Amino acid sequence: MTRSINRSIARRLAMMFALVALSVFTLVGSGLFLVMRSQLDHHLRESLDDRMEIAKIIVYHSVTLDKWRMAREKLTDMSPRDGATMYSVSSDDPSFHYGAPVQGRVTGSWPGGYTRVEPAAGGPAMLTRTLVVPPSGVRPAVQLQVSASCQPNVRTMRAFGAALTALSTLGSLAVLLLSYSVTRIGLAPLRRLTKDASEVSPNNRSQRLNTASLPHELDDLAHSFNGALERLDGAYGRLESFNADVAHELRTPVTILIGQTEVALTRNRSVEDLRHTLQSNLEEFERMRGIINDMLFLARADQGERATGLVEVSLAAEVARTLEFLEIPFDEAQVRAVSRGDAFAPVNRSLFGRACTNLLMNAIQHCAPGDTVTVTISRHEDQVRIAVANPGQAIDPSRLDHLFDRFYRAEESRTNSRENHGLGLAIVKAIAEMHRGKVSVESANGVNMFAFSVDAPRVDVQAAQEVPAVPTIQAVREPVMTVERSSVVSGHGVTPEPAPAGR
Amino acid sequence: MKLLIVEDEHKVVDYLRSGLTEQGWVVDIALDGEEGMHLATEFDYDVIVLDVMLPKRDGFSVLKALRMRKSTPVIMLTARDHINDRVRGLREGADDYLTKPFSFLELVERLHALARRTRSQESTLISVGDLFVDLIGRRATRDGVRLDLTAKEFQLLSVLARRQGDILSKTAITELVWDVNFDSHTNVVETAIKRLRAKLDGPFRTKLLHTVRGMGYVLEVREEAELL
Repeated sequence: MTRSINRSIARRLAMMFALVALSVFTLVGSGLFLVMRSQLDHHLRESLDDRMEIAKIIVYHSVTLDKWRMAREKLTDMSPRDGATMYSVSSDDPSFHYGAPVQGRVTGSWPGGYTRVEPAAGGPAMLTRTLVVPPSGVRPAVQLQVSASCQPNVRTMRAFGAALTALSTLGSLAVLLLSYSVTRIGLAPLRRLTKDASEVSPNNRSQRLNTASLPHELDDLAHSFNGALERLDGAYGRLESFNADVAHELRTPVTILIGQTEVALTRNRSVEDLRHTLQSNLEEFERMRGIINDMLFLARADQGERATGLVEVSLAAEVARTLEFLEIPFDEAQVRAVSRGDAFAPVNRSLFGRACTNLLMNAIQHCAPGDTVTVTISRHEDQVRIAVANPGQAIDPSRLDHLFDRFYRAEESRTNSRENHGLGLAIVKAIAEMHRGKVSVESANGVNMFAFSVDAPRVDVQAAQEVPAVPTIQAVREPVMTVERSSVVSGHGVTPEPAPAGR
Repeated sequence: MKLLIVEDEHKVVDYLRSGLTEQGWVVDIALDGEEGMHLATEFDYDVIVLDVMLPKRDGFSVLKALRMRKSTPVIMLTARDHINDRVRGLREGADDYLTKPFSFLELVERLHALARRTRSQESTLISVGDLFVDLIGRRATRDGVRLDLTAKEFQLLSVLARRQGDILSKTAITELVWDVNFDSHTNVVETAIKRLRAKLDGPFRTKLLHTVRGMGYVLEVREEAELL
């Protein structure tokens, strides 16, 4: 029960409003109550003063015994029967006495000689004032006491207090009920959002929250939620097409395998023919193995696996190693390679080499003979960036974001799809992420640049350290001006001088 | 050389047995962990090929128990490509590790590498027919004529010559010559072989460097009949 109350915003708000209303009513009521009581007390003292004034004049003029008798009669006439007002006169002379002064516990006193007395004999509390009337004629000095009952005031205050309490309670209850319904009306857009959100499902991925006519407090929430849906939708869509792509990539080799094996088995084939079939099969199996291994690699990277076996190395030396490996493809494509800059970073050398290989192969594929591929290694705070740039046609900006997607092919008909099944750049991205880095691509001024970065928190001071000499690719470091050298092999054989002609 | 294969998948066992027997290995088979453990402790093998997922007793447990008694080289096979598996296997004493799907040639490479560890130093001058490869002088001659090779070409030739008669896969060549141990999806090896072949076999009637389609390359003297 408590849970459901806590969970309902409307109920909680109503409760809180009611509590606030109750506090305010109590505060105002208490104030009113105090003002009322002080006003009534003031009024009582004023009426006591009036009577005291009259009684004083009567007693003052009783200068003879006759006049004192008349004064006593007047005082009796002035005293109401219910005892709401009482007069008493006392003096040393027993003949100048009237009534009996109120005696009992004093419960309060005010300046001007006012005291509040709880009569010892019982009955309501009385407000009293006592004056000494100086002697005159035969009359000695007398003490004149006038007292008035507080009973009417007490009764009024009690009724007033009860009325205030009842009204506050009723008012709070009214606030509770009204604020509950008002809050429910106010929360109606939230219920609508909830209904919209509950309709989102994998079968209904395009469903979005309707943000029209939403109060601005909910607008942000709805937009964030829609943004999250958009991203999830995108990821889900990519996953779906990824699965379709994988199936498609595997379908081709499997079709070839089934087909050519069936053909081979339908007739009596020569050993040579069967060997051909098996060799062709093996090529398809190798291709499938490549796809499976790459997929497993990407899946592991997706699970957030980090690169292990990190070694702090000169990245220029690693790039040079990769360029050495790719010497032949560069040579065949008649493309040159230049490496600039250096930085030290902890990397898994094998993974790093693989990322460089993929980027460089990608660059070669988009180069024309005579072009130069430039590798630039630069530090950006805690990251080292390896950028591979090659001259090429501008890439459509809408495609830039997708170039690192799996199976994404910039050109639909890629000639080398047999060798590279469209996962090369996706693997670069995975390797960058395994090193807590990122990938980026830029296309401007006729140069396309693909880059990845690796995390390298340590500030290295050895950036100028020499890297091992590489036979054909000259590593150029800033700020030295670029000195380029062709990567074309030119006599780095084991025999420096020409082989002897004779036998 | 004697080899024990502990693996429960019959098709895998069959092709490994026939393939490795043809390569000159003496092959024993165990189809579950208990039997594998029994054979491995009872007999002395040069290498043990151990699958991770086995009936009765898994590969890690067999390896752990075996390592308490023997230091026979072990290659682990697994379908689960997780770093943890690899780390665990290597920590518990495996000498090498292969992830399925693996190629037969790759397995042969690894087996050779493990068995070689205990072998004596190999010779520094290798001859294949009329080809002589001097590993120390870093020079190669054929029929007395010095071959004009680049550093990489010489390295490629020496790798093939050291293992003459064995088929070397593209992956193995990339790893041995360029120290690159990933599937690079490039034609580096094909082109390097083509260039080496031009210098090595081009001017000569007898061809030494042969392509085994789909598998790799082999350096050996073949019968004339086969060449024609």
